[in-house]
Amino acid sequence: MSAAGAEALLTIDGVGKRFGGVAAVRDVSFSVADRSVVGLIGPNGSGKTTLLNIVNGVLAPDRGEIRLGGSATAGRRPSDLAALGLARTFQAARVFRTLTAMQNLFVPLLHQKALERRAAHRRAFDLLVFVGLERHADRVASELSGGQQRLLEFARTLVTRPRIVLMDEPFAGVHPQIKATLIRCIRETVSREGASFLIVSHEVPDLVAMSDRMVCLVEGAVAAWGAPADVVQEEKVIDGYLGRSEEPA
Amino acid sequence: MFSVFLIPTSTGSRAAAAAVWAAWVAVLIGLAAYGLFGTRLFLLSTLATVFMYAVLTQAWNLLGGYGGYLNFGLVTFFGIGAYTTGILFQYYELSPFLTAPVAGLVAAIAGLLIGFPTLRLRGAYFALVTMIITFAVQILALNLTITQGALGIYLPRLPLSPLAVERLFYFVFLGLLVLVTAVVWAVQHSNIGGALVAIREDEDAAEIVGVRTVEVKWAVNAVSCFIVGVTGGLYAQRIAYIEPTGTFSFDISLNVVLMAVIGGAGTWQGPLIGAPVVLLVADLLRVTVTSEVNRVIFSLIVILIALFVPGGVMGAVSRWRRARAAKPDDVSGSPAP
Ligand SMILES: Nc1ncnc2c1ncn2[C@@H]1O[C@H](COP(=O)(O)OP(=O)(O)O)[C@@H](O)[C@H]1O
Ligand SMILES: [Mg+2]
Repeated sequence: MSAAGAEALLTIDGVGKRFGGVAAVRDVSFSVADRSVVGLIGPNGSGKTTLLNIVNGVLAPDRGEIRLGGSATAGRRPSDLAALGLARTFQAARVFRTLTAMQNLFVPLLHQKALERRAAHRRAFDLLVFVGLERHADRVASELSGGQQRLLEFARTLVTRPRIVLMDEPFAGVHPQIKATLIRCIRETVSREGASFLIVSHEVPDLVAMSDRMVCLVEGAVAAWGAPADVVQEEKVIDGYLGRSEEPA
Repeated sequence: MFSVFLIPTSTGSRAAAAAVWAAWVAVLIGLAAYGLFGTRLFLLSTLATVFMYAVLTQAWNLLGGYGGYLNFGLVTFFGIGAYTTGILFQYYELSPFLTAPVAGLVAAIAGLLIGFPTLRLRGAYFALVTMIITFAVQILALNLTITQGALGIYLPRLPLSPLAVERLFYFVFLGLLVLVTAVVWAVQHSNIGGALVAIREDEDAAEIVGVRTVEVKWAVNAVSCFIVGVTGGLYAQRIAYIEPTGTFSFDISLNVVLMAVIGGAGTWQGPLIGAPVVLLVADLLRVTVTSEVNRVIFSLIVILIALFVPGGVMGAVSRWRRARAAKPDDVSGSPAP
């Protein structure tokens, strides 16, 4: 956690976005501190992916501001934001299918100034070992299973040593073993490299276990923000997302 | 802005790779020997044309094959190169052999300017606009005073025997081809090649992952235009007369795309295979059918290849290789859909 008063690593400040008549994101504010995991929950269509798209510069917000490391990101391209230490994964893994697993990891390194070839090779191979794909280093990505593609995509976000990684439903539809690997890797990346994560997921118990903070969107607006245990108890969150499954109908 | 270095590619057996390299070197030695000792003018001249087209196709391959930006107006930069050396001779009597690099530079600058708006377009729009720009530039060449309109520009005949002239261009274009192929090989095996393939497959993801896609496309396009401009500049000397219709002929653009697609776009070997194959077929068709029928047959061939041989000759080769290398102990799950 950052010291009180200091600017958080990522600040989302009063952000709104409309698509035609649909208000996809409405006045959303919260922040991600250094070396922390923030879980983002909410029903389908509540604006989670849209928010990630705004944060990494794919979409421009209609209102509000994003600050990364204290400076506003308005007008910056996704590749600029990547250079500032922002990385992300997608709801459906987007690997480069005709490149090998190893080559996929080199794509983000093109503009890394200080990196020399040897260091890059080491970094890429270490990451394949980290996510358990080293045996598949020379296989083209399209030959990997869906779960392996997710692991590869995750390794690709880490190759530039990002300060914050946005992950859009990383556990959706993956084998429990892959999910366990992803969770272990996320934890280790936070503790070893000091990175932060903003993770969208419907696997609420897992997210509660791994998050320092949680935020719930309902219909584009923040329904709750705070400690995970508190967020899942909130009236608005239960009504708008989790439901009252324990109670008799 | 870029830190470019070679990266590992998937490798098969070393012995097989060595054998393939030996074959390429043998072909190169054979070609060099023919250039030195061959005396058939027609064959020397045809091979020089094959080399020239292979150079153009390699240049196209950089952005088109790896990056997926299908330029249907490559001849724009070829013509600009040809006119650059033509004009520099016309007004300053400078030999195209000296001014070919200038032709490359002028073409590269034109490529940067034209690329500024066009490289933002994707897919068929890019292809269409590059084609239209050729016609616009051709109309310019027809109407400007400096290009002498439809009259064209004459260049000096070289004070050499016909055989010596053919030999000279044979080696000029063969040398250029070796150089340019080395560049394309290096690109394919470097992280800039990886970035280009990433752009071809998912440009938005490439940008998000950190590739400055706009700059990469501009830079690679400029390099490609430079090569094409140099080639055009030398071509002007070879044919010794340039005029807008032939120099900016759409057939050249089309041929280059065909050669890349048939040989295998996005591989350094593709243009080396596609250029001779297409020119051979074109020559056979030229003596048997009219040029309209010729075009139709060509288009059919391309459609058939696109449908049944994705990746061209090199695509088929690498599928065959992979099938042979596939191991039965594959327990790592089925490929994703
Ligand atoms: N590009 C778009 N154009 C129009 N509407 C969109 C677009 N992207 C998202 N939306 C709408 O915005 C709302 C939020 O979508 P999304 O951010 O994908 O939600 P979530 O990721 O939480 O499921 C939905 O109503 C969706 O239909
Ligand atoms: Mg979503």
